[in-house]
Amino acid sequence: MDIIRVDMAAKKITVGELPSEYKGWGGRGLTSLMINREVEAGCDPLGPENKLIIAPGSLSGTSLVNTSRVSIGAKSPLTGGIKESNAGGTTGAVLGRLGIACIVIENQSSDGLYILRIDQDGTPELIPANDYKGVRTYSLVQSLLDIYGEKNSILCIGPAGEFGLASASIQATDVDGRPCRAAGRGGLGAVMGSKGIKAVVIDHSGSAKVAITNPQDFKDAGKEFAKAIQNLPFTGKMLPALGTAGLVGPVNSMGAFPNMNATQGTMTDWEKISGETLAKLITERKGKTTHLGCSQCIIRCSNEFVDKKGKYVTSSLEYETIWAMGGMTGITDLDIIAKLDRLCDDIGVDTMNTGVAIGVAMDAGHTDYGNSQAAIDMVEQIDQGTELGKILGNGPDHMGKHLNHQRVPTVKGQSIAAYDPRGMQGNAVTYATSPMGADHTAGNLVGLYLNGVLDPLQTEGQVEASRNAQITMVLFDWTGMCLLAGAALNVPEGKKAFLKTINARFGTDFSFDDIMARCIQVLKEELEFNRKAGLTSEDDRLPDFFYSEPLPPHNKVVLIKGKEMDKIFDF
Amino acid sequence: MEVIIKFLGPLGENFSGVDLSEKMILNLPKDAKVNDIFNHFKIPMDKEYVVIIKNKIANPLDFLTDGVTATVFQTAYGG
Repeated sequence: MDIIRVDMAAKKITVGELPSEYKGWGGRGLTSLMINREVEAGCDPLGPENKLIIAPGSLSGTSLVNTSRVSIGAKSPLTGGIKESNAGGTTGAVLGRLGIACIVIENQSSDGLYILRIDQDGTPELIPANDYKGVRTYSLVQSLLDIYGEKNSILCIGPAGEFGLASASIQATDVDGRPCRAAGRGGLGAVMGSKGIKAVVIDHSGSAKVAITNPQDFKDAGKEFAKAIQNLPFTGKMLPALGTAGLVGPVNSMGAFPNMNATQGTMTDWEKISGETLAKLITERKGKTTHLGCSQCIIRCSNEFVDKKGKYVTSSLEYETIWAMGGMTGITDLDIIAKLDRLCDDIGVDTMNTGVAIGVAMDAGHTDYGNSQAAIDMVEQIDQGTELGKILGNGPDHMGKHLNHQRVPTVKGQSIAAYDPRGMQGNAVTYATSPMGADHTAGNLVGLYLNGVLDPLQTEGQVEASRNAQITMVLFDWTGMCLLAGAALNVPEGKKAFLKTINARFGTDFSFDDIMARCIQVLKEELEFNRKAGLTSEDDRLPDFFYSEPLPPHNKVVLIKGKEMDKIFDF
Repeated sequence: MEVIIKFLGPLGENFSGVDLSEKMILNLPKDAKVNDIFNHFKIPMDKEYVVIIKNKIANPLDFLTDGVTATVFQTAYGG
């Protein structure tokens, strides 16, 4: 597998063999190890010493279903610690097929913006791109596809990344060539902008270079894994029908749907923004309720939201965006939420951090809850570069400080997700302790609660469950597996088949414990980086209000104290 | 007793008597349990099915009470 190093100061690109210390790693495994070992932890995240590392998963580019995730890593300008953010779409599969283990972008351009182009043989070049300064992602991608052809996958930033805003995302094109998938969390779009890279354009018309050590075993295990995904009701029925929006009803019914800036756990008008309502609306307008968004996906949780005239607005309208832009703001009009989703993708900002920041502003009285026009105007201001736009684009902490408001639901600057920690005590542990900041994808326990394995409102078993979930999530992020498909590991045949694919790919004989040990190694290196960067256990804490403000309807606070949470990574 | 049932998601499709668009009122015996909801609609019990009553996850052998609302859906693992 190749490593492509791009020196943006010298405009020099070197292509070589991946060093032996990194062999067998991919995705988050590779980005986190490299960031910890090659980046000065005390550096300015938007300075020349930081590195932006783009890595497909170790199974990306193979024939295995649902392995097209791409990991992007750096020191985060949002959290001040290590960050891996991943995106769906096509990029992970394309890079994997080309035999590219990672792209490492180093130093900074002194003469503006560039496109990093990788041709069908995997050969990279830098192309000046100052003409694209300030261009939003949809126009940018359309222009690039017109120039280079439709058989290209693109990672790109919008104006927010060029402005260096801490909520800036890196957008990724989906199967239809739209920049609607996002490596949203952690401000990595700002890191990409600081390097002077506007877009990475990768030709996917070439032949595959992925080597599988035991191809027949890999094929057989892949079929078993695909069957396990299809047989699980979550991935085989619920997600294709409703997408992740199908979670609005269940989480609301548990009393754990944080809304109105996390002042309530159930939302009065939740049905107006539910997955069922979304599916009905899309069907009536002849949009797509199920849609192939990512390469080799057999779940098809994506959707295409269209307006009243049937014209495309955005894809995919996800649970977390509906929550952030709807639940947290009190906006219950799906057309407005879809518009906000599109705006965020176009300007290149994290929908979650941005929605939560708007919720903070509403809670502080800057505008009323539910004021759709105000929300749209605020997001537009990010692109306009106004003072309020910059504050919003830098996330909820900045908004809270600006408005002198204390109820700001973040950890390490990153907003919580659509599961209130007071209604899911184990998710409180994940939000607080993940090296990534408040991150539901780092270790979400909702499945354990709904399966009756753990009580979400009690303290027993939560720290251990969060630890195990965080370890397991490294596996998905390292291999490029979609975490929704990873639900198949909850059934024995799915777990067995997935392990077989890893061993068949690399010719290894790992047990599941061996794999988990490697995942722990990644977590250790991430924690090590964060400590070197100056983060302490005091940063592994939820804001005070989660411990003091009971959340209706259960009227619980976060019960697990900091010292208990500190034991989570006593490996 | 009367129990109000609301199905979420596609669980319940292909089973007669299930109206996915509206809440349904079931008349059940006084000593009915949560799993009797599935028995009523002849939906085979599956550990992937969840019933929420008063914002808490109910066990299949929990007794139902008159007038309660039960929300029924398939387990989700994240999103």
